[in-house]
Amino acid sequence: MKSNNLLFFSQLYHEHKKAVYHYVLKMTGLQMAAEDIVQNVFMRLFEKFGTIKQPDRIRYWLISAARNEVYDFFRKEKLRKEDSLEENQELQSEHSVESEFAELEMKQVVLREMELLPIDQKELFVLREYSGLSYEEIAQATGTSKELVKSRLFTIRQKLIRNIAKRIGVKI
Amino acid sequence: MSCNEYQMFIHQFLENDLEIQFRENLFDHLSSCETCKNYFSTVVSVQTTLREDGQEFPVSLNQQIFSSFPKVNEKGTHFSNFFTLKMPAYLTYAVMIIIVVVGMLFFNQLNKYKEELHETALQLKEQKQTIEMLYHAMPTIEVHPVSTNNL
Repeated sequence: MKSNNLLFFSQLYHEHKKAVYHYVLKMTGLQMAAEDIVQNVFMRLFEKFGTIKQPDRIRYWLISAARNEVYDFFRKEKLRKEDSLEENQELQSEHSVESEFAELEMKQVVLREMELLPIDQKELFVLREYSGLSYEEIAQATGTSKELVKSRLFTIRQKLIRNIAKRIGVKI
Repeated sequence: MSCNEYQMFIHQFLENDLEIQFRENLFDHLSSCETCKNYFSTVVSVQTTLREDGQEFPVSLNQQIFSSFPKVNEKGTHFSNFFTLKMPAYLTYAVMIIIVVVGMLFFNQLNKYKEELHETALQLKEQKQTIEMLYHAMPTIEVHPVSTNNL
C-alpha cells in the first residue's frame, strides 16, 4: 500500500470508526465481541482498499461488512430473533426489581429501553442514531426503500420515547 | 391534525427535515398541548444522551487494529525499498554488472594501496637500520674539562 493510500486509509478509519464500533457494540451488547468484529471489518477494508472504486460509499461498505459480521456472530452464538425476544422478556422481569435510583439515570433508561426493542427495530435505530447513516444508506444496507425506513423509524422512535417517558415518570 | 402527526413533525423538525409551513403549526400546537410538549422535551433529552453515548471509543482498539495489519504499512528504509522496487529485468542486469565492475576496480585499487604500504614500511625499516649502523660506527669523542691556568 502506498504512503498516500495509507494516509487516506487512516483518515477513513478515524472518520468511520465510531459509526462502525457503536453499531456493532449496540447490536451484540458485548465489548470484546464488538472489538473483534470492528478489527475484522477494518482488516477487510485494508486488504481490499486498492480495489475499492467508489470511496464515497466507504461508510455503506463498512456498515454492510459490519452487518454481515454481526449476523455471523448471531448465527454462531445462536442468538436468533426468538432468543432475543425471550431474553428481552427476561430483562423486562429483571428490570422491575431494580432500584428506583438506577431508573432515574437517563442513560441507563435509554440504553435499557433500546435493548428491549426487537433486533430488527434496534438495528434501524442504531444505524440512524449511532452510526449516523442517512435514510437512503439505511435503505441500501437493509435492502428496503427509503420511505419504508422513514416510516419504520418514526414508529420505533415513538415507541421508544413513550416507554422512556413512562420510566422517568413523564406523562405523554 | 392529531398528536401522532405532530410527534412525527417533532422528529422531522429536529432533523431539519420539516417544511417551513408546518413549523408554525407545530409551535402553535406545542404551546397548547402538554403531552406533545413533554414528548418534545423527552426526545431532546434522549438525543442528548445518545450523542454523549456515541462519543465513546476505546483508545486501545486503535492500537489493536493498527498492530494487526501486515508490516507493509510500516515506513521502510531507502535500502529496503531498493530491494522491493519493481524494475525491468534489463535494468536489474545493468545495475548488477555496474556493481560487479565497480567492486573489481575497488578491489584492485585496494590491493595496489596495500602493496605500496608494504613497500613504504620496508623502506622505513631499511632506513632505520642504516641510521643505527651509522650511529654505532661514529668515533667516541672525549671531552676534557677546560683548566683556568691555560688562560
